[in-house]
Amino acid sequence: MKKWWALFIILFIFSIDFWNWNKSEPIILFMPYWMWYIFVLTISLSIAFALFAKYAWREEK
Amino acid sequence: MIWLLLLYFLILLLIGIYAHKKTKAMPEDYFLANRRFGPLILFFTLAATNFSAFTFLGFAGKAYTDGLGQYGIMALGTSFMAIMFYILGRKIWKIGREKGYITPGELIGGHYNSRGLQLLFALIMSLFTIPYLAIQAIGAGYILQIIFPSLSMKIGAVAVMAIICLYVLSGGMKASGWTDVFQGMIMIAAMILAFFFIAISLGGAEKATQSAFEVNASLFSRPGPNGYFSVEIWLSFLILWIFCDPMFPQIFTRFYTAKSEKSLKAAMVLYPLLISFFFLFPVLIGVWAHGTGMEINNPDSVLLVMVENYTPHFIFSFVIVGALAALMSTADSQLLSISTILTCDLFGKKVRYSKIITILLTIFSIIFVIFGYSPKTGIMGTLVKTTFSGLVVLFPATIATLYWKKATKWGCIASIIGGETVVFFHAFFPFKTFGFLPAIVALLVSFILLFIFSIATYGRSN
Repeated sequence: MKKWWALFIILFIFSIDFWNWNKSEPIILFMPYWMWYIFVLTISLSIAFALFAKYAWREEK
Repeated sequence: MIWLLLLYFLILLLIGIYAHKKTKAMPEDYFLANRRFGPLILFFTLAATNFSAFTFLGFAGKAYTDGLGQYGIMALGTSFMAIMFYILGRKIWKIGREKGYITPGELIGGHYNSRGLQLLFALIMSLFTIPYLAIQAIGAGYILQIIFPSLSMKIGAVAVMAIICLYVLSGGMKASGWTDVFQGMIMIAAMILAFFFIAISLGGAEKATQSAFEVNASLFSRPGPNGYFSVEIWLSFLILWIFCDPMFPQIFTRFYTAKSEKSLKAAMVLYPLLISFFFLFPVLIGVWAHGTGMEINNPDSVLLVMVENYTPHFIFSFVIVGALAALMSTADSQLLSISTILTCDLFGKKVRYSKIITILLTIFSIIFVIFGYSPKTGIMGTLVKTTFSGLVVLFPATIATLYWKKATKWGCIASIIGGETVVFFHAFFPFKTFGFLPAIVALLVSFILLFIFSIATYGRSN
């Protein structure tokens, strides 16, 4: 279980992307790159939750 | 447009009638849909309940004034919140099923065998949610006025609240949950259609972005044109949404309604997936407005102005219904959860009492609108402005009750009262919060008090 919490904490730390502050370019398709970063991070979170639900969340009988 | 609106209202009422036929006059059935919500219904009802008119209209307005950073704080904060479906939801669901709990107060107060703590929890949840319900009524009035400019805002508000009241009274949680599925689908479809039609009208999404970028490039970076999105504010909102959202009574009570843990699992996985793209649309539309050269006086109207000017009329009609669906799905859940809490925590599990309280709450909201009370002033204004801060301080007591064996009722009481004191003190005498939201300070104080008072009283009160 600790590995899963570590993964979620890492994803949370990645969500405070201070290194992208004050940057607006490059714009990829119709969004700045940092918005794609957030979009991918959110999708990654969904995938992480799916894996967590499948392998770590034990249902009680 | 009027036919589309009437059809929408008719479907809501028909769902209410159907739910009424399927609901027995038993507390578990009326208040919690007999704890039988499957994965799809639970996911939609959690999403539609949480995505309010602010999600639909306010996001675009905030993006119009402060830029694309709005997407980040909302999408990330709300997505991470889904982890609470495991941390809190699973435990609340399990204990609720075992002990027959219906309200949050029953769970917290029941754990310490403290009627006082149960009532305190019920009081705080109601105090911060009832004013919010009243401002939803005002919002409904304004949305209907767009369709019928000659109609008084007050009449529109009364009509919408009456419809909400009718279907909640008819079928309780089943009506609320099933209408949420219908309203959630409308909301999502309306936003997708609005986005694609606006993008096409502006010459494509890339061109729309380029035009806005040329007008104001600061909208495309953080901290944004007004310097709003500092790292401290960013972190504050992430923490706030994660800890505050599950403390909304309408979300908390929904944890009880899951049919099995599979329902909670599905909701946890699908929530960030939906948010990742759904929140993009209003934010981009809000920023694109800058590239059109239009003057927007009220930022909250930017989405509707864009849709009115850049999509066919039937899409505009559909988006208006989508905005109403966002508002009504939140309001019906608030109405039901507060009437459930006030009934069960004060008078016991009596469905008839709950129906009377539902009517009284609806009348209260209508009076609030008819007498023209401002949601921005007075004690109601303070409560509305501090809703998130006021509810987030319930989190430490909740998590401690579920996980910490040394937590005591005095620790919980001190945590809640101390946290609320900080919230109100800051509302009237603002103090320095070092760039963070005051809610974060209140949450911190709440955690510290919980720890100190629990340690000090452990062994005595338990």
